[in-house]
Amino acid sequence: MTEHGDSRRIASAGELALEILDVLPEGCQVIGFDFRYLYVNDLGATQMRVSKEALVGRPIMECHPGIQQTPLLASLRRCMAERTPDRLEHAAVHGDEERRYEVRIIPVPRGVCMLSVETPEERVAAAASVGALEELRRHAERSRALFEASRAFAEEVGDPERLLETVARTCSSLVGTFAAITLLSDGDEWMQQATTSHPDAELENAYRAIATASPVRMGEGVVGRVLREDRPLLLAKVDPESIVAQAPEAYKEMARRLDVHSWVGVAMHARGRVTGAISMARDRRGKPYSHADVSFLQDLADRAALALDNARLHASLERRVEQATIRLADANKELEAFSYSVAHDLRAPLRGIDGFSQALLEDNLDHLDEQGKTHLRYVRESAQQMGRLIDGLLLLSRVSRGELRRDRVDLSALARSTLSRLERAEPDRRVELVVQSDLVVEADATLLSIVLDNLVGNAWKFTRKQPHARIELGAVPGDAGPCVYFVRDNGVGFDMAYAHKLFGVFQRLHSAHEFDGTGIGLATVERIIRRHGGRVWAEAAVGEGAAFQFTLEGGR
Amino acid sequence: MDRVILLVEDSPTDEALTLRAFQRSKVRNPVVVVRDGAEALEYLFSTGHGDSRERRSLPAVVLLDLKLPKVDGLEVLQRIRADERTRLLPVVILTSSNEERDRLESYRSGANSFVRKPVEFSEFADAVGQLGLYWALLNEVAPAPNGGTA
Repeated sequence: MTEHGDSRRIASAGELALEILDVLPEGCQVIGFDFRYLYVNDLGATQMRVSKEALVGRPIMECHPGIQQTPLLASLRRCMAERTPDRLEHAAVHGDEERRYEVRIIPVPRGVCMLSVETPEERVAAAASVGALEELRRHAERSRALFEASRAFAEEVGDPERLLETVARTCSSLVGTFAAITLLSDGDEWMQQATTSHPDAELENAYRAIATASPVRMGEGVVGRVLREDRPLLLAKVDPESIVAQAPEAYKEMARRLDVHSWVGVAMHARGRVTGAISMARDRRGKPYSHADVSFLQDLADRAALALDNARLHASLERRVEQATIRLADANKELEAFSYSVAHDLRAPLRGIDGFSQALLEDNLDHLDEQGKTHLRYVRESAQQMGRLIDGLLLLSRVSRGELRRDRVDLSALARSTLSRLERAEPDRRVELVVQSDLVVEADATLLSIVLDNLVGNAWKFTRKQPHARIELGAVPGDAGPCVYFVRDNGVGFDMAYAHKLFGVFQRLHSAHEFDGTGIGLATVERIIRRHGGRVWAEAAVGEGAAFQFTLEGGR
Repeated sequence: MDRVILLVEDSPTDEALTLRAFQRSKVRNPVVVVRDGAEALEYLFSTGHGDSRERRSLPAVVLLDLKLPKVDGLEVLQRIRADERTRLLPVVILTSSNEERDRLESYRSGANSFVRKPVEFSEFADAVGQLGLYWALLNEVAPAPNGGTA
């Protein structure tokens, strides 16, 4: 009866305990009062990624360098000394991998026993997500605050003074407690204490009074350092006296009253340059500033800087527009006075020249030889031509002024009335007229009649030498654009090489000898068409007539 | 006796041309020429002169330039229209300007006609001659206001 001897043998308690410990579904480590490992079960060794043999007999600090700084060792020590159990969560790092364990520490006669189970992954993940959520919430809060601040800043873009106030108050309330804005001015040589904000109104006013009276040279004090180095400066815990010591002379008393226990300053950046700084201070009642405060303040400062720079641009733009408007109004007034004077004064002497030349021709005919009479005729022709030039120029300047009034205008009727006027003036001419009926447009009637007078008048003029003259007015529906109107003739035409000169003032393509004219008519036409938002152009060939085409509205 | 034509004109050449135009058009009315707005008003209202002047008959027509020394044409016109004695007096604006603004203001202030002086003498002579003929000879004036001059 010995085959079952082993199983029948009564095991010692120690053996029994060890057997159980070895298969326990928890890591088990027994550590002696000298912190050497007395026992480690299989799971414990696995959890530590070390073999049992490498552990037993060696001090725990030697096996796990870095353990001294952990709460785990603190807890072990306490348990050794006070003989009280404890439980805690411990994070062990194995290479890149972090594992979390729930650890119970139990005092045992030879020291302590640690039982450890790995925290289930879901719980680790859950804990992590709670942390991430917290971080996210803080981030969202910050973004929201920044957004609100940016909006508040943007609203004050028209009033730089109020914008500064808003920035200071925003910093004071979002970051706390005392906020001061320093701006660079005068070629960055002076630091201007632009504004300050403090919950204590008396302190705020006192500071402002000093700031107004005492400009600070670039680089002085702690703010100077921030500006000079263009780097945030965090004095989380600072001796108030050291701030007093660094302060420029005029500010020492103020610095003392502010009782600065924590200080932070950041530079403001806009459009790639440093424009100033925001500094903040808390007294003994406030918490020290943290790195999170610094980065938040930096974000706030850069938004403020951009808003301030925008306000500056806005103001300078407004000033420039104002000045330009005044200059333009002056120029217009001057132009008006000029053309008024031309209308009144320049024509009067011409009337005299023409009138008295005529008088000479009538009254003193006997004293004039043929050459004298010819000369007097030239004098009269010159005076009359100059009269036409003045009238043309006045008309040109008038079509640019005044309101454009769009009405329904019958283009065909306008053309016919122009043509019949021309026919009355030269009844001997034979011209075939082809006017498309019912061309009704939306345009300024007065201005459009000037256009037709010129275009039809030109056609009339330049077909003078044509035995079978023909003048045509018509319209071509625009190809996916505005309707194109045209006045076409079979007159002398012109060389397209000079087409670019056609619409310039005083530009003529024919000599006065050949065809009379002022060189202002087409410039006037072009200006009128342009005022209607349209376009005018011409197609012609020498000896083959010309076609002037125009639109009366925008389009491609 | 033909009634007077009052010409308010500061340019001596325009004056001479106007007189010449009247002559050519056989307008025989006597023409009184004054050089500025103040003289025109004085002629019409005889301010600061003896009683004898007050009895002077009104002209058949006033030819009024707009741009005048001292008191400009528009103001003269407005004063003429504001006074009961001259309210119905025919006034023709005769000016170099063809500015719409001038035309509008003239008619608004009660001008009977607005004529632009052309540069070319024959046109000018035609215009002025017709004016003279029409206003001095053909036009039947409004009955004189009570107490007015005959």
